[in-house]
Amino acid sequence: MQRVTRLSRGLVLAVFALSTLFPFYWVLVSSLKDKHQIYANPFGFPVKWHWGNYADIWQTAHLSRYFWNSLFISACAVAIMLLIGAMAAYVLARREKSGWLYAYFTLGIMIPVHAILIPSFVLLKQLHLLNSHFGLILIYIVSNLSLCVFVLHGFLKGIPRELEEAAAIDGYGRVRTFVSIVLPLAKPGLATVGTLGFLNCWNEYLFAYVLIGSEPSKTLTQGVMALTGQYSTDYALVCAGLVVSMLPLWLVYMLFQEQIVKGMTAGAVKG
Amino acid sequence: MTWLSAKMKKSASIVLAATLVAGLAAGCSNSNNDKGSNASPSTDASPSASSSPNNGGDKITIRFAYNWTGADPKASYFEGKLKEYEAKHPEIAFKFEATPGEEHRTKIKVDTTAGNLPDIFTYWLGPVNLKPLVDANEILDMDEYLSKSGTVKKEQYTDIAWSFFDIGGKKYGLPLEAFKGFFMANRELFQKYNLEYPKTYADLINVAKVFNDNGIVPFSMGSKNGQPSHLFFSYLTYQFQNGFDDAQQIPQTYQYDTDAVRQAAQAVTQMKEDGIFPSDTVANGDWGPQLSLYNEEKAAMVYEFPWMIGNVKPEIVDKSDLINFPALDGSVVDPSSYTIGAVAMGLLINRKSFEDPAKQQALVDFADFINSDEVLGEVAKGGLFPAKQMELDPSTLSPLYAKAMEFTKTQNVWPHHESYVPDSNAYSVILSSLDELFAGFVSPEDYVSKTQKALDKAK
Amino acid sequence: MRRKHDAVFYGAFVLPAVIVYTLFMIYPVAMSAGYSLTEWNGVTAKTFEGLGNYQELIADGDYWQVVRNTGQLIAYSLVFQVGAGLAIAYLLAKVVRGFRFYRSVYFIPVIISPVAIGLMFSLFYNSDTGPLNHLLDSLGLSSWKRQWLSDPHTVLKAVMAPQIWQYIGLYVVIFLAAIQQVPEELLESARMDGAGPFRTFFNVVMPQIWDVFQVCVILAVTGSLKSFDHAWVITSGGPGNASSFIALQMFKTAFISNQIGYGSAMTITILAYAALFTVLFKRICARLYN
Repeated sequence: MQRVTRLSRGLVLAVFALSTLFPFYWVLVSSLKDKHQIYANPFGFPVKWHWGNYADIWQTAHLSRYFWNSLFISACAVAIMLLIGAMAAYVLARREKSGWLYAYFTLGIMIPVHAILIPSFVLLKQLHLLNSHFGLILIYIVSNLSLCVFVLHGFLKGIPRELEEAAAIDGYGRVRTFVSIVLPLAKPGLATVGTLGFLNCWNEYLFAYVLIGSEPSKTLTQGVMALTGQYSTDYALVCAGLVVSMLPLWLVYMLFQEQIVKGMTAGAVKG
Repeated sequence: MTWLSAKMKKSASIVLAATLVAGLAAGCSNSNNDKGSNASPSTDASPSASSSPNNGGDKITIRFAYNWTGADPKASYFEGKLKEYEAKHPEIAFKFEATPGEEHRTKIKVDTTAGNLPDIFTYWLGPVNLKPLVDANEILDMDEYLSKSGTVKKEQYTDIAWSFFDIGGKKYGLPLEAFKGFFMANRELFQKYNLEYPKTYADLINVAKVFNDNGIVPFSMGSKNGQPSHLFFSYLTYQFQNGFDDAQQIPQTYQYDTDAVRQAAQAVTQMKEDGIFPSDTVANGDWGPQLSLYNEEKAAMVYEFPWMIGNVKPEIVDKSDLINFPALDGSVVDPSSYTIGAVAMGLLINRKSFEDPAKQQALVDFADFINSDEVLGEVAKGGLFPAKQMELDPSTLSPLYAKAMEFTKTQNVWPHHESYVPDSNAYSVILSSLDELFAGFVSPEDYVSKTQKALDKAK
Repeated sequence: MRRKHDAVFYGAFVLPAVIVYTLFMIYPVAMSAGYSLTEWNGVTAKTFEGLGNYQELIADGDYWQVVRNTGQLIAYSLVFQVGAGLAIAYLLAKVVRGFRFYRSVYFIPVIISPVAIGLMFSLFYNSDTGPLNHLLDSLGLSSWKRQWLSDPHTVLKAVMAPQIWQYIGLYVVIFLAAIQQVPEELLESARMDGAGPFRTFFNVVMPQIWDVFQVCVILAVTGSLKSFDHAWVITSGGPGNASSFIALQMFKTAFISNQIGYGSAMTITILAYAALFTVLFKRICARLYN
């Protein structure tokens, strides 16, 4: 009986693992085909291995430049978002009468980005931030800020106040307490929202193509999507681009896995 | 390749004048191709613009937005020319804003809404796309440009070509890219099963039966967001009594519900029942999947357009014949006498930028450059059918391009319904309803009433 | 003194986020709410319509169809994302060997761009060339074959499946972490009482992870309300509106049909549904909990 349940449990887990590995396999294998093969033979191994696809996208399609742009934009957006998000979440967690402000921040979780496209574009134009990375960074900060505050709020509530009080007795100022006591304790929470935020920024396309027109400033998603045309798309190159854009994300996840997993739950602890 | 040279000799170096628009004229044949070719290059793109600013060292900035980029076969030829021009004109700071495919439309819409329209940009035809821009007085009447232009003349384009950019009697875009549809059949597949190209609908049913029995899709046609089915549907409609005349009346009558459209809708349902199309028209919709069935020899016939030429496999081009689609039951127009074609894109100029004295000359020169034979001839290598009447060097063009040009030379070119429907919401209803019609979600009657309702609302 | 100092500190700390968020999120949403009271094609002048757009929405059969589709997506997401995610996490929590492997692998689809997932599934479903029908044939299930995307009974589910499946891994990871924090003593004493895995789950584990569960439900619901990419890539929401969801419909209305006012009204209804859900859900949870 025990064996049977263990076996069936293993089976379920393995089948699901296969299903989640499959798309990775597909993107990888497709990235080594030519564009006709994708349709002719969508799921098998390539007839001929086109390693050149990677050289093509990295150089000809300028993905190398876009890659660094995306890294810069996503990293800045996430860093700023974490900082101001954690500061706000800390206040919300420590002040009793801030329920309405908390509700105000969490409102943003429900807003689809398409809804704010036109107004924010108009706004950024007035601020002369079109075609600038900074404009895009601002948008990415706010579109992830709500989730950030939501999760960190729960997380910081869970950190006992006594620590801060002890720090105050030791003569720490409030800012110093926040930086050297609270933030380190909040690492798992930061890792979690940081990862999710990074993921969103890295894969975002709509704002990127509307805001960033000039060639040298484009993001990686724009570079990958430029491989699709109105009438024709070279999906082999697109898949090669996707592999290039996926790897850093997976790396981030693998690196912070433990922290993220811890943060995911802690963040949900209700206040 | 041997095929090409043979064909070339035979037709004594076909003058590959961009026939589309010529063919449109007077709705008749090809005779007027040659006369319009007053090959007036002078494309050294007059660097006269350099004379303008330089006072204070302030460079003028020209923003140009387009979508011949990325995977578009035209991209490398076009963007190469842009870079050349940029290098030749250090006095101008160019900002090239390239957005692939349909996203270009969204970008321009958002730009327009925010008052951030580029100085010059490519855009799609017809009142659906142009009317809002014209109503807001955002874009330039091309007569003003033509009066300043050194090389581009009104006569280089036919009246019909201009008509796609005509709003209230004025021309708001310079026709750039034209297109014509053509049907192809895989000769080897037909030979293998001892079949003739179908002439009548009864033939088509027989052919379809044999192909279906052998696991081959008779005719690759899908419909995802109306692509590519809306062009095919126009083609079917024009086989019936007054089909084309009715379409031309739509801007005045707002009447899409006509006998011809009804017959075409019924024909689609009938063809679906008779197994002419792929079984899943959504999954096989859009341009890529539609062509890939044919490329992989899983479909015997296909309806294609110039922008796909670069994507047809060379060995498939060799096996393909261009054919006429069979006459449907009840059709009154000879299906070989016409083809669907129009201008796909034009060049638009921002009115305010043009009225800026510092920018005007630079804009004129740049527009002249884009419409020069040099640039259009170069981009034709990537499959562009220039809307301008000009000569192309046949040796630079792909075999299928030459074949398609030759085949459609004598056909009347009739624009599809998108050229006439005056409301973007109504046209998007037509596109999404076509998906339903091809998938068999709606009956022909429902298709017609649904689409007509959208037009009534727009009135 | 201390209190005043606190107020300054709190204010200074919360202010950057409030400013950025208000300016770039709330203000644009308020603008959209303003647009929703007008008829506007985005270019020419707006004409004030009052609540006209909302009245039109109420009478718009297409709109209610996409609302129903979105409702289905929410329901399926709750069952198959939250539910399956929880079940898999519960199973995985007891595994010792391969634990890290599974946890890494389950997260892979989450990081792949939805566009790629959508594309892969549209090839997968293709009834003429795709492998799904072949697979059913070879399993002897030929009668299950469908024209997945051209069949009114399957297209909506076919479009929902990939987006639900893609994010199961996210919920697994979240639930896994929660389950691991359930104190060992509780599980131990349940075992002593002779409780089977199901009873342990509902009586011991579930109450302990109740907060996490709520968060996941909210994420799944708001995620469904914002759903866009998969349907856009696979079917463009068609045929007709058969596989369209509210956010997608809003985009089509505003940017393809040029009806920005009407599209904005749809946006506002998305917000209204989300807010309504959050309030109701909190109420229900509070009642259940106490």
